[in-house]
Amino acid sequence: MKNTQWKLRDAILLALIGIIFSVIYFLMDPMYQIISGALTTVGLQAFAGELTIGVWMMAGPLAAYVLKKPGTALLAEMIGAAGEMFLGGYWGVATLLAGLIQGAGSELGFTLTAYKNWKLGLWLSTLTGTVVTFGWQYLQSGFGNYHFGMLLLLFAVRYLSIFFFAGVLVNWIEKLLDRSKFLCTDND
Amino acid sequence: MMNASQRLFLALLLSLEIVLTNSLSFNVILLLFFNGLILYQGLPLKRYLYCWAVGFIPAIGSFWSFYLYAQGDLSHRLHVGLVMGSRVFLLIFVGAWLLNKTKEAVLLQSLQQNLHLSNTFIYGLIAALNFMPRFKQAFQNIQAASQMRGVSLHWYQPTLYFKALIQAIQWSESLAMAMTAHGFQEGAERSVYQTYPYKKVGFAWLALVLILTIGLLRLLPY
Repeated sequence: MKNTQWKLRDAILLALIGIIFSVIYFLMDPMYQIISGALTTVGLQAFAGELTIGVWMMAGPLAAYVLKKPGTALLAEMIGAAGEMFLGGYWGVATLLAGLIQGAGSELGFTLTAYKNWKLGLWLSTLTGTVVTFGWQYLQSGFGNYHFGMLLLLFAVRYLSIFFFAGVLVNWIEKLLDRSKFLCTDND
Repeated sequence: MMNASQRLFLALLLSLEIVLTNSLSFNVILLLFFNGLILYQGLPLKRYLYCWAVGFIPAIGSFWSFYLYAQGDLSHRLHVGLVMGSRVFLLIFVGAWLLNKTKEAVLLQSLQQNLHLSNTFIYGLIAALNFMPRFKQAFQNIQAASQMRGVSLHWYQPTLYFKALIQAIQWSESLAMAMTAHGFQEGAERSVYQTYPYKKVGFAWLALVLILTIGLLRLLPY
């Protein structure tokens, strides 16, 4: 596959996509605080993360679609996470770990199509992303302490969030990109 | 003591330990230690207070959520709540320690040298990093431009991201062209002006921290 070769332009574009999203991730942090604060009053703070997770997973699938190379989703998500950390996102090192997990989760969806079908990969990545990040969250946030019903609900909310932000919204952006024919010069 | 890569490894190692264990006393000891350390290293007071302020709602929220909805009796729920609450602060302060003394470009350079990553990649990243402030401006420009056509773009609208992406594609082309014009060659052997070798003491510190933390976790399971 000739498309596994990284050109300087691709590396910069990947980094720029990561950085655009690191700004968005950083700006989303206070939003998370507000939602988290509101849900805390009813003791359902755990859902704050599940509701908003999708936003933090947008960089990976989008970069994968733009660059169409193996590993892109993982790298874009990690750059986004590192950027968020350096901008002063307060989750600190946890951001890096989360970026790695989220990126790997999204990447897996594209791997399952052997990097051939990028549209199917996108929808698969919402599913694999949900499963992988939920597994991580299970460990990190001690979800093992919740009842099964609560876990099921948390998982469903997480999937809906990822499906909407990292699926529907990303797909929409991709359609705009396709229409603009901006990606045609990609493999010159 | 440690170079930037080693500091990153230590931070990642510690956060893994923090995340995978459930010891309140371990969290509290580390929290006190890192608070002392970053104050000793001269973290500006404003930044220090900011760390506490931003962690406040997630920490309380996390505690409250587990206290109300976790399984088990009251004392267990209290313990889980406290572990999760303190975990939030601890991760914030380990991050603050890492960022306090480490510049992005230095971290990237030392990662490149220590782990032998591709130069094209690292230079591309460093070049792109310099565009960070530009992006805030670019987002404002995009919003202002559509505002002039009577359309307001919000964060949840795909058009905003689409336009930012177009901007990124254009910038990446210009930036790559500019770097090539200045003599950057993909895959070429490069000499470096400043080296960031691993420090032997750093590895000793890594090992020491690992042994100490595992010991602590054994001694203080609660």
